[in-house]
Amino acid sequence: MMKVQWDAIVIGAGPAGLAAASTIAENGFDVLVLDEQRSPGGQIYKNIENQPEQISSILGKDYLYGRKLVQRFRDCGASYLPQSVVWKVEKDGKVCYSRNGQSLEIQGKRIVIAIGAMERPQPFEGWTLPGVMGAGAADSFLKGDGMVPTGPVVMAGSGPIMLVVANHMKRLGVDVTHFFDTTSSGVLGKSLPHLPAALKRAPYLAKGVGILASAYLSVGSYHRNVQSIKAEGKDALETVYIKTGRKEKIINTSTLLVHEGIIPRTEFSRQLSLKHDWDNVQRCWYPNLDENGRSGAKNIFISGDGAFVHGAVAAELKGALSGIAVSTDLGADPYRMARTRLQIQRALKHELSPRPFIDNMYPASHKLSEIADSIQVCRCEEVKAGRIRELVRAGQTTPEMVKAVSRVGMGPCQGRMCSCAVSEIIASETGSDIAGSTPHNIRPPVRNIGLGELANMKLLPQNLLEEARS
Amino acid sequence: MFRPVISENSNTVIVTVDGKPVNVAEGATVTAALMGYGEHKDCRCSFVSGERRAPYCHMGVCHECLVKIDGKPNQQACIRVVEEGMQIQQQAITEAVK
Repeated sequence: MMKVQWDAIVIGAGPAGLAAASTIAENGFDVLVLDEQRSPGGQIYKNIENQPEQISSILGKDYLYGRKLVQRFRDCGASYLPQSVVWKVEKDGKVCYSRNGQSLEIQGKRIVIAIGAMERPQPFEGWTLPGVMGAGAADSFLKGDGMVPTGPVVMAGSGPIMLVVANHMKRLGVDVTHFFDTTSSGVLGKSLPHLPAALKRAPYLAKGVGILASAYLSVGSYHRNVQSIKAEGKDALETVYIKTGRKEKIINTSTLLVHEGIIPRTEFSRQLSLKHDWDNVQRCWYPNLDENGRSGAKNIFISGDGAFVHGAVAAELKGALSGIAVSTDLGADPYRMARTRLQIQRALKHELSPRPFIDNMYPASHKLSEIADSIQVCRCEEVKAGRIRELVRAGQTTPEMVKAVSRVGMGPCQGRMCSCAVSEIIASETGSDIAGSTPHNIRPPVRNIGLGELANMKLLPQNLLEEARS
Repeated sequence: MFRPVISENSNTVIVTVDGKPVNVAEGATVTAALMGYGEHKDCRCSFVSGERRAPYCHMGVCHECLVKIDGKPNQQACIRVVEEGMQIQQQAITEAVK
């Protein structure tokens, strides 16, 4: 009979989750890590334990760094359940998850949610066609399954991940024929004021320049000043139309990789009805937390890129801070914890120094509020921007109301792909400040669970009774 | 649509994709079985109009990769790992009332 009550439950085995769990376990507490993948590493260090040399050598030392992190986790004594999909978290620390077709309810005195970030959904004409996918998605497929696209690939987007993926693809023999950089001009103006702070980490910036140069050399042709993207095809992608300046490029391809940066995954923080703030540069919701990741619900911590996107190294440090706060709550020596906390805070401050510069170099530049009427915003329920605008004009002035009438946000993705766009369109149509609005409610289960599995699930009181008897 | 970087694999399992047996690397995701080894371009039809859909995010967020596994529909192919004898099928579920 598996243990059902834990000192801490960590959701997510990426850098933040691993660091949090390792910290908590090393301080002598019982911690369980639940993760949906088959091995630790999250997205950034996906499949690090089993990555063949042919691929890991191309992924480079930033990826290989994950080995240290995962080894520490394996050695720390934390319990770990891979292939476990969490579908509900409660403020009193109850967690429901599904594993091998069975759902269970367990409880932790403290919960650390570290599910990371997702690629920013940027709707465009034809984005739902098979053959269009995220650049980060292609990288994830490479890391997890050793797969690369066959045939020529067109890339269109902005951000460091685009550059890294172009490099990976090229080095594995994928023909990236066109790279359309959608980063808007004029970002230098906004980001230059932040350059002095960023220069504290000049080697890191230099590395960024190196990645840029390497990506430039990895692709067939590089284009800027993108005005619009359209994907067309019958049943699958066949042609991409991209307007740059006054020209239109028409390219026959069956694979288009797109990317516009990453934003925090807020499914649990919204399911918990926690307060969220809106970031105007990255144009996304993020949970309102203290400097240790503690939310308004004092037992619930949110860590890593899921708290705010700061990258993998910062995620690890944020995870450690949450781990220290949890350990202190649970009874670890407060003076020892305070000393460690200080060290990590210093390291985090150093790690974060280039962020304002980077965030302003790659802002969310494409106004989601200006998506053309004909474009599908809600992929699940196939609702176009024009329909959403119609509804707003007819009086449905919140995402909840739009959802109730049109089903936007009621599909299986529960608004993960359309939330930002819906909020932006509504704010624009009503002339209101998006920062003052609330995204639509997310109800549990936040993942697909069959009714049979729900009916058969083992709830906490029953589990506790069984545990007591065994 | 996709090809494995490493083509030789000693540890494989046999699954069926829409009835056809396919050799898949052990530990692979169902997406890899469908679109890599299985050479499919898509995995389901959309819920309203029935247009073709394929995996988009490969990390459990977009919910486009929903397929039928061993008779159970709406399983995320990017999350599920193949097992010997697994039956994978593209699904054609819509919200239309028949």
